[in-house]
Amino acid sequence: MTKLVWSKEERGAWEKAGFDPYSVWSLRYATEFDFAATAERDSPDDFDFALDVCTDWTLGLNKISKPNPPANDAEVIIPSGSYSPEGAQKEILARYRAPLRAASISPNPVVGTDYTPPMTGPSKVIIGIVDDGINLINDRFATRNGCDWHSRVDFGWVMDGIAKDVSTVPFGQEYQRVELEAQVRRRSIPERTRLLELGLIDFARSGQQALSRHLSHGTHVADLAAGFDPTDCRNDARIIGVQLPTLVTLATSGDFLTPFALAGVGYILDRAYLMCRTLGYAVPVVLNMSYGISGGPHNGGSVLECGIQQLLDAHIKRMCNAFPDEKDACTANLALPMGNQFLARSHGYVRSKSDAETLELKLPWRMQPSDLTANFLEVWMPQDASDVEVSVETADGECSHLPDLGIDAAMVLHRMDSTDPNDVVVQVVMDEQGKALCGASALKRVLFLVAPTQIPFPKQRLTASSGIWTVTVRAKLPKAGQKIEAWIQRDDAPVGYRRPGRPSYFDDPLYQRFTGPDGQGDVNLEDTGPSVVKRYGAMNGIATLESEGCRDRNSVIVGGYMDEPADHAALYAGASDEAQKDQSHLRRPDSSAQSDTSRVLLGVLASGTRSGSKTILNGTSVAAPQIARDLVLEKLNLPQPDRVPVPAKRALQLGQDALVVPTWHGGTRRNPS
Amino acid sequence: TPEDFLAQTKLVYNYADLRVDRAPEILNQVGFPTVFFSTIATLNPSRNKYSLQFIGLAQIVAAKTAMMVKQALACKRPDRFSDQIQPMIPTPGHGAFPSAHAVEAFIVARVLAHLLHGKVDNLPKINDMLLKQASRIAINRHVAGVHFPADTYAGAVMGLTLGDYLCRRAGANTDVTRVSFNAEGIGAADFALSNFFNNGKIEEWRAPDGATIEPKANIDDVHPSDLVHWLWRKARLEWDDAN
Repeated sequence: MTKLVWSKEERGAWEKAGFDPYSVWSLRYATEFDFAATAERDSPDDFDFALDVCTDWTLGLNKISKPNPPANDAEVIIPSGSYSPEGAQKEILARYRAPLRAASISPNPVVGTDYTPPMTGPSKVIIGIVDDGINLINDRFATRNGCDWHSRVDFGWVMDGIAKDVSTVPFGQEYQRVELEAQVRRRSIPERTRLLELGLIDFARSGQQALSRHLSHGTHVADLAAGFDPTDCRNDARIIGVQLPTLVTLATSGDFLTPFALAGVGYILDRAYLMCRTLGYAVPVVLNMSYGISGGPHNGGSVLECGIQQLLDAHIKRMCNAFPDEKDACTANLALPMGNQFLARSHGYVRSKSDAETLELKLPWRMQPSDLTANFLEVWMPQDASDVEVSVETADGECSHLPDLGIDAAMVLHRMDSTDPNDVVVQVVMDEQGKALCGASALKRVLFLVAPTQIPFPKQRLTASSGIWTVTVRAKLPKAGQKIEAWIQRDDAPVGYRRPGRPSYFDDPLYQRFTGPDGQGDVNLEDTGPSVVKRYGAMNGIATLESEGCRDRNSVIVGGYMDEPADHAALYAGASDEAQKDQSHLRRPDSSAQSDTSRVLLGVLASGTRSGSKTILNGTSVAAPQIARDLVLEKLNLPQPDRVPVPAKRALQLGQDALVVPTWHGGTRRNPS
Repeated sequence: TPEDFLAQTKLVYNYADLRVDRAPEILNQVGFPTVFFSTIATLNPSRNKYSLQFIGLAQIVAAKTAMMVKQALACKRPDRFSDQIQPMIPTPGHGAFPSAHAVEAFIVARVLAHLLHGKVDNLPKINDMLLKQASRIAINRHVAGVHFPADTYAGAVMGLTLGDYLCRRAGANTDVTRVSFNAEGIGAADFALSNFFNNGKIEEWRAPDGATIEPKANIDDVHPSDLVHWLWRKARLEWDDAN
């Protein structure tokens, strides 16, 4: 067995350049197994890009230059800041690796665009969808008056599309209504051919083609939020679609999500503002982003959450300035899902009962064999927690304390006497949230990044042992009711994709998976017993906007129910945590919608990728757009489905009220229309 | 050119992404996938036995002709250009170009259109569906990893023209047009029928890198065949009550 030792890590070029810890891991340690190693390249420059989030919430795109061979990061060259159009250097809040291909980057500066209002009548609502694989020419996003077809999609941004020479977006390709409508109107040409012509499907490019499949997450979600029968002629319901890069969607641990999600939300709001100024009146915006990560501080203070809140606020402010007499229409609301991690055994915590209490959180973290992707664990605690002690016992039984671990002093577990990054099996990083973002509720994090347990032949890189790794974090927490709280990042395959990764989880013998005295009963849906592994609190890490510094008014967080509204949460439905007097708790969901028809009839029906097709998808991802749609119906002055109050005992998963199953989208699985 | 083959190999490699969706269909389409057309044209063995025989004849004509061209051109299959293709069905021993599945599928679609001509109200829509089905069967071969899109272009052109020829020999009133397909310069062009087939006939097409499909002069002196005409007439009678 290889002898592994812990060493203090030298702060390298990637950290100095300001990269987020997950990006540092990707660039330094994951070169043999990360997306850049496994995804096909169309060009040697593919994937060598960085996206910056600046303190004013704009984004900057930079190219990373590395010497050959690329594994050596000693001489990395990245322009040391982001630049505004005037050339002034801006302060960076966070920097991320960007999984973009060279073909998605335009050689020329971005140019502005105009908006041509549709001839079909006034607009009453703009629905913005941030998702993956949206068929922008699906008939559900079009209208038809006899033989006269029109598209309702005013703008679409495919972030990993091929960039035009003169581009209106910083990367990828933008589609405008004129181009989309021209294709919608070519009724005699098969849809596949039209999608090929638009470049929305392109088998000459590497990567998985979401729209070539029968089901795509984005088209299904977009149909739930914004789809109408074409003969309804709902030209007043406009659509802006944003398709995140496939590689970002595939990184389900959320490593690269932040800048792209911010870019998507910002783009929708910017285009909406352009539309309103051109139209001469205010139009409300309803957004849906059915994405979730399981990690994050869960206090609303992550970069992504603060950014979203700032972008929504700024949009509302500029709209109110431009249309002071139409404030009722100057709204922007975002629907987010609660997540599907309730039973994933990916969350645990201990909570202090008195002030200045020393607590210990001991987590049995099981890594699966044949897991070809890395595993990540985040342990969060108050920033003023003191006497922090971290120890790690490997699956092979080697236990070590890490006394040298500190802010900006990371530790690595590696093959003895080797300085090769590919001989590093674990990296442990400690960092803090910025107080500027989060005020007094800022937290600090101990982040564990572990190599895969299998690397495909013939690569020689050292792997982590599979089995139970025990991670112990002790700290003195200043006040009663504070937590040391841990989340394992998701490692599953997103819907419709193949991804080699097996989720890790907390394997605690005290965790009662099933009910009954001998554990032979039904799936246990309550946090019974003394285990630190908890179902409640396993919720989407980007849907927690509610903290002292970042009070959010504009987002609605949606849970998923099964069967009759508010009767049962779907088995996987994410949950907030129990309320405690005077103690901090996670954001509660606001509402819920159906995400499973029953225990055996999963999912809800909505459009498949091809016009006229219907397919099934489940998860809180399909609950969020139903609530978004409810907001849309309100803006359109159309009848809205009823809502049923949720009993208090289910409020942590289902919010205050539950949307009764509407039939405006293809019926239900029991009664398809 | 070698560059064409490599560009096409990349397309086939990327098409494998659809195996998850299409595997059962592909396995059902090994051999002559006549049932996939029966569902569109409502062919029933007891009601349409002569039509099915005529279709069988067309498929044999297509297969034999395709084999002769494959032998002469002797093009390597995708899995000979990259071991990563890993076809999901055994790669046949005969050459890649043209795709026999494409010739056979498109000849059936074309023959059915002629067979139903004047007998059903809805021919344009049925014709569209038959051609889409033929396209799908042919494209499934890319997904399976045994054909290039270039092979499908060749097969479609052959199947459509052979269909006209066969039906003309049988006595149908149809033009027969000579068409040439030069695949040199196909590059990374993917197959789409509407690139070169519109309004019921093959039109001129040029791929970005130079490959061409060119319809040429009509052929007027097609020799009628009494035997084929006999079968044709019997098949046509089966559709008298089709409306």
